[in-house]
Amino acid sequence: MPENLDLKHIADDYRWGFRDEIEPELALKGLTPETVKKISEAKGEPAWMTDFRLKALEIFLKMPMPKWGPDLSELEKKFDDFYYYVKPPAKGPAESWDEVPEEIKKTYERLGIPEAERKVLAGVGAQYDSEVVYHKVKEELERQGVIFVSIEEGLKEYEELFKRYFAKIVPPTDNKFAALNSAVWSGGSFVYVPPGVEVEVPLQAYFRVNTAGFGQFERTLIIVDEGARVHYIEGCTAPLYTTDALHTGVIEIYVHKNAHSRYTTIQNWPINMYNLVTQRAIVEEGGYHMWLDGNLGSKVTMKYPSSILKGRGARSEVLSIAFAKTGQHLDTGAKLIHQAEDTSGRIVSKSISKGEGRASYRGLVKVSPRADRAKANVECDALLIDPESKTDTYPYMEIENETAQIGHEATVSRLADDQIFYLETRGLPEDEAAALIVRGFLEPVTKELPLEFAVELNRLIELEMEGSVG
Amino acid sequence: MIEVLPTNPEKLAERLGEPAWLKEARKGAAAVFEAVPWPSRKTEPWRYAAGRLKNVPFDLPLALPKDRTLSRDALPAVVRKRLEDAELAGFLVFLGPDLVYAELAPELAEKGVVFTSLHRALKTHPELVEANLYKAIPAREKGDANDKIPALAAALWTYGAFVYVPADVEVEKPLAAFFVSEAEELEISRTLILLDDHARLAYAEEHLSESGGQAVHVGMTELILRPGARLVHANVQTKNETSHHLYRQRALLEKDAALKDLAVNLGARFARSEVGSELLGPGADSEMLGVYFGAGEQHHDHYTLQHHVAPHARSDVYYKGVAKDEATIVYQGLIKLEPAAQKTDAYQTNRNLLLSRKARVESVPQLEIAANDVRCSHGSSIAPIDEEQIFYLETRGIPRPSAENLLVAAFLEDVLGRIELKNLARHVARVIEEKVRI
Repeated sequence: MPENLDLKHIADDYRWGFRDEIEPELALKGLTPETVKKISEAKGEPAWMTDFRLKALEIFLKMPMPKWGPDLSELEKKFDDFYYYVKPPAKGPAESWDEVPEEIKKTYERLGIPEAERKVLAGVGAQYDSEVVYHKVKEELERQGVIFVSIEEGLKEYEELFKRYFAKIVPPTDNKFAALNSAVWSGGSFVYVPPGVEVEVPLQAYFRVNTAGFGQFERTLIIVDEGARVHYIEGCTAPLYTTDALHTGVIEIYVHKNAHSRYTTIQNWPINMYNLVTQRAIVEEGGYHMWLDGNLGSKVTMKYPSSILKGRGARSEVLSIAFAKTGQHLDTGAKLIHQAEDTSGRIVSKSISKGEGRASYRGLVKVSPRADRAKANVECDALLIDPESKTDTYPYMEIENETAQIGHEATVSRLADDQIFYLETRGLPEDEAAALIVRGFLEPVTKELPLEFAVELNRLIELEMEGSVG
Repeated sequence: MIEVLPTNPEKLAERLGEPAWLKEARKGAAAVFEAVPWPSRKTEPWRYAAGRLKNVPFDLPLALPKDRTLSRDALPAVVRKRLEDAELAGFLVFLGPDLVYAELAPELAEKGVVFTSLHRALKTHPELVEANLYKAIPAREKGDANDKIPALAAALWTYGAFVYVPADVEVEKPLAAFFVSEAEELEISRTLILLDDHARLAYAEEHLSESGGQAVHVGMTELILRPGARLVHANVQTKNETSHHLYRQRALLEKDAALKDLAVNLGARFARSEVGSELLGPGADSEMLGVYFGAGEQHHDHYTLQHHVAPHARSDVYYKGVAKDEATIVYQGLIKLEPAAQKTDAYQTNRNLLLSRKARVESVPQLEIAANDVRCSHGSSIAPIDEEQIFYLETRGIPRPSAENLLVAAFLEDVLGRIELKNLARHVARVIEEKVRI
């Protein structure tokens, strides 16, 4: 974060920046085999998982930091200063909000989670620092065999199913931060939807960080069996501290034959958070997966949701928005890996850079030799608000099949004076005109958002655009 | 790949009778060569070419001038053939590192146009060379792996062309330089083209082979365009398919200067072409065209840079490639806008046509934008030949091979049609036609 930034001022703008006075039960600092063993022990894990974690730590220590993308040199110096595991004073995931400790419950009430659960969600998971404090899925779904539990419960109660998929989609060797997560993971969701079951309303997980200097390493595993359907939503916030924080998640999704899944995440971390996430889905024959990715907060985000189109006719869409303000570098994108015939994909990326903010798109479309008739289309649009705003586009296309049809288009434009002027002549104040143009720019992505997210996002954009022109 | 220079740069300077400043510059470049690593897969602009670079025999002996000259009739056949329909105001022919033949219309020489070898210019126009050599392509730019080959070239170049067009002089017919590889040697050349205020020139450099050897050619071309200068420049490579060709070109464009550039890669086993424009003054305009066709096991690798430093400038990259058999064609390019580059128009388009299952295409157009009042866009596409169009032509009685040929020609026509060097464009189209057929 640049030194001239007024933290106080940002804290005022960041409405989720409040902090709870809660003493953790256990807090483990520093990245050593001891820390890893203690996490595994605290969770009462089987020996194979302890070994897996220790091996992952070795891999992490061996792998170099990425030499591309945002500057992580500050982060590299701090690995030993983070808390890798912070256990809140709660007895495992509760199934009723009444069982959640009062202070923590209050936090979620301020965030509006229990209310949303009553109204629009099929299930909710709530994670506070390292542990899941609440988990509940509607009864009729439970009867149909839908599993929606914390990842720890997933390992404990469904070990065989868990073991079959865990770390198979994102192995620890995938990248340095996947290795870190594999060593110290804690919290996250385990979802299984049985063949043919359609979960019509979304399942939601909510991640909250409270401890200063904390690293959150949630791990989510979603298995959508043949012909099943699910929509999973994740939201994240944290208080604003003067010390940097780290969020390194790994999300693995397996979409079986003809299954349909959606993963929506809106991160609004405060702007001292390093948000380095690996999200990957494997899509089998006739399956479909959508990544809907919103990046508003964090100091640095590196996140490239990927879909491996493994079966014939598999499809995937990645829709993403990024809003980078002063002090933020959001390096986001998408990957489509076509491995089978007739697979198709679409990437739509919309980014806005404001102040000295920098939004980068980094993506890959890869067509392997056997993926006949693969089709992919990539659209990247960047909107620049201020003269100091920055944007980058790095799309990689690697094509090894002559029948592929691949297209990429990107545009960079500024908030147009003539459009604002036109709206002003129609009686709109300048701020509102600017917000309206930004909303219009994002509309192709926001129209896919669940309503309450879309409303929240629009409100946020209005706040951001106040006093930003003229 | 070599870690130690095959020849001592100071001894080389002495042998070539060079001034002290150049000897120092070569020594400095040698230090950079020793300090920086070779590009690897992790060196972004070399992502897809680093593997092929490993197979380039840099350990061949350095090609040293032997002061040969030839009469026009005794020039290599490949050059004589090219001269038949080229209407040139002057040309140079290099056989290996020797300038064996030179010709320039007397009226141009009278107007002060200089067109000779770089070593000759060091004697006749020492101030011009000293003030501009290594300006566009220094031995050390970033101090990283991207500097390895420029440092090698700056330390050990042994031949090349020099062009100077004085202020307000317009050269109507094109000038050309033919570089013919003949031996299995490491050839390192350097070209400096300098256009003074409001000068105009059309210039082509062609890289050819006379024998089947696996020569390595490293060429650096520096283009310096003073305010209002206009240059049409083409670099056409049609070498034999066992040779290696590494080319870097950088243009410095001052206020209202305009460059129209065409890069063509058809030959060589491995051809790497880096074409960059620095837009240093308002009103500067750089149009960069590219055509490449890979067949057999060829690897054609392209990197473009549009670096906008000044406001109110324009740049446009339009590169089109075709791949058949097991060829690999690569396009990587960057539009970089500095914070001062407001009111920029910058565009980048890469289109690829695939003719065979085993061919490979990589396309990475990139943007780095640090100014907001700009218009920038890029587009890239990769597609097979359109079966409906083939079918249509077949129903008109045109057999499939001819139909393919027509469609490839049509695909490349809008690039070749944009360059003023009509004779050259026709020649390129003919070579491509042959490549589609075999």
